[in-house]
Amino acid sequence: MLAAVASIAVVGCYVAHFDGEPRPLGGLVVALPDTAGTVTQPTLLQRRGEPTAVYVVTAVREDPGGLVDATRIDVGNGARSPVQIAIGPDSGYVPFLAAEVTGSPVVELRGVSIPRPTFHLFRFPGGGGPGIHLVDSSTGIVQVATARPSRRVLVTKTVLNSSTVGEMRSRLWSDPAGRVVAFLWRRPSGWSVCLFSLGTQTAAQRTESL
Amino acid sequence: MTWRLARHVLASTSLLLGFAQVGLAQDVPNRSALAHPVAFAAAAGHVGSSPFSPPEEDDTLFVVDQGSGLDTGCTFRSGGPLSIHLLIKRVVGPVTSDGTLRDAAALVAQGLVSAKMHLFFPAFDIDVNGAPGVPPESDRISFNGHDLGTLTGDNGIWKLNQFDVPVEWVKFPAPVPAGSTPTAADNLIQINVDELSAPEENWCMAVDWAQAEFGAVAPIFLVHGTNAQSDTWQPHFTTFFGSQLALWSNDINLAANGSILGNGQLLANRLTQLAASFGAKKCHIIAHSKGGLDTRAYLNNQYDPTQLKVLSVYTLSSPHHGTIESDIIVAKRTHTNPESTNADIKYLIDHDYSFVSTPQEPAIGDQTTGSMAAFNALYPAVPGAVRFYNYGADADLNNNGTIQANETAELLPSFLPNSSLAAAGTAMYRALGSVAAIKVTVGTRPGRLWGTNTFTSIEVAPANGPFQLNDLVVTETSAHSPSGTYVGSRDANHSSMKTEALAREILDRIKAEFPAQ
Repeated sequence: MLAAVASIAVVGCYVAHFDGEPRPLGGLVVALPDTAGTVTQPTLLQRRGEPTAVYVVTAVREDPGGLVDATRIDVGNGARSPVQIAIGPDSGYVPFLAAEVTGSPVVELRGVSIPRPTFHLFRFPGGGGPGIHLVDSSTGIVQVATARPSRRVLVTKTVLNSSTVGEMRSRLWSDPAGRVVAFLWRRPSGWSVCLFSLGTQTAAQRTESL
Repeated sequence: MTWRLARHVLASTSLLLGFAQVGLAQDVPNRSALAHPVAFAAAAGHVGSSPFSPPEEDDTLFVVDQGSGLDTGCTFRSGGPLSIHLLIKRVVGPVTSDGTLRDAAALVAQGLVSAKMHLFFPAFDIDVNGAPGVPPESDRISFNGHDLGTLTGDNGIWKLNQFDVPVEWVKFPAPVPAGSTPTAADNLIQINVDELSAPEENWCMAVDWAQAEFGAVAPIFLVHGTNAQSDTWQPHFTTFFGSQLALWSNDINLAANGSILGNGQLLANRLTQLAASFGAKKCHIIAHSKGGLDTRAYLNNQYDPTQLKVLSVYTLSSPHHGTIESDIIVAKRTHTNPESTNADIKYLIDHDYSFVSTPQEPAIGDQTTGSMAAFNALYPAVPGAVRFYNYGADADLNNNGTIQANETAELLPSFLPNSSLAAAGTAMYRALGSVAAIKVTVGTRPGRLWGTNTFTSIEVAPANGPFQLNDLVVTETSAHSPSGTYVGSRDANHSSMKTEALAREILDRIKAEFPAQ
């Protein structure tokens, strides 16, 4: 009996998993049009001197100096408008900063995270195998939260035996001044972005949070 | 009055008059120091009274500006010998128990360390021309007990003395594990003052600071790629560098499937640690696959050359323009019931097995062609002073347009049947070579029995013009970054390109461009 339960538990660890839909707490959720077939995470930018708008680029061509199609989103009311912008170091548009780099906001798990040993026949393209590698297995509530100056939960997501927490971290961005936080995620219908206005953060606070 | 008494009188008088002691150091009574005082203002930024300022320390240039034997005022033999301790903090190779290099000759022969270390220091009032009735001043200098000769100069002036020290005589720190800091090696410079006048004391002298400079090739750090760790460099690169005396490390383990920007941050921290363990402030980087993209992220976001200067970067089949395989697999994994009419795309979709450890998000998403187009637009270059070289590879060794089992060696496991290896390799080769972009379309159609089924069509849109040679993961075109210098293609696949021959070629280029002089 015990062996049967253990076997079911082990099999469950490798079969059962659940990734809930992200639930923004406040903020502005904007579905990005015509992105159902877009495999690439959209690029977020801000125009210098215009902190109240976010520019979202869903398809960048390898055309240095050329214009790309973008969606301008008003952070205040979510109004969308198609625009064409130039992107690059001297374009006047600056990229959002990865939260993985700035350290804020953060993605935290309220639950259990146990690296799950997983068999592989071989590794690609790293080479080697057969062998065992560890896969992140998180169960609980994942929270996206600001770290400073005060903690504020922005997004929650329920997960069971999930390995997507790392991916969530890579979907989290903030504008260079730390006033706007953006969280991207993919639905079957396409990409969505959730925008949060945090107000002004002082340079000292931002430096402290790095 | 004896010379000695005269000297004491003059020195005492000078102190009473408030002149700098060194400036009043003329020690021969018929040349009145008081009549011709030499009073130098202390150079800004250092302690001492010579007009020469010491240079900033670097990892192959070390300075001692205060301490034993320095700023002593004009010192006679009885105040000596002057013992100056010069600390060298840079590891250049294994050392013996006394701190000297275990195999200095080999290091020099391989161009990894300069044959000589240059020793500089400003010395004051070295009266080599002597004076009537007294022998000339002879101040003998030794380095770690080895005689270097005598100092040069003239009455009442500071002169920058230079000596060349064989590197065999120099003590260096012993290598330490990554994460530790090497213990500085204490090198003793000793100056015996006015040897020829004994038992009299006719001449005095002083030293302001001392500097030692040598040449050494900067350490080389190896950065792994996607779904890999530091062992990706085994066996060829580790075997090669292990057999060389060059300083190197592959002890870098970033997030195996981390994002480019996140790994850039991790890389910045790790490189700083590794460099510190060598006492180095400069380095070279060799990066495989996505490691090259992580390196570019680091150079664009965290790079601070005042902390650690990257001299050159070599990327080996890094997908600077993405890889269509990532586009296909991401599309397959994120959409319902993927299918394709293209045989090669269909093969990749159908063979994305769960029992194979393959790239995962966010790493795989960051290497899609669209994501890399955005990355290149935002970060088109690396800092100008960094020499940036790219290698690519072509896996079709016999140029027949298909891949045989032997052409997948090291990338795919040899225990698979040859037919499977050939089929997988050929599908990858053809997909990369022919597909420029994919079009993903979500649709529905009637179910076989009832209702509707959602499906996702992944098709070619458009095809490449000329077929793109590739290493089964990255095309040669993609391996050439927007700002890099493409230095060549290897006849190899994505893994087997990491050969000893390539490692040697890179090391030779590093030594040629940054010689240890």
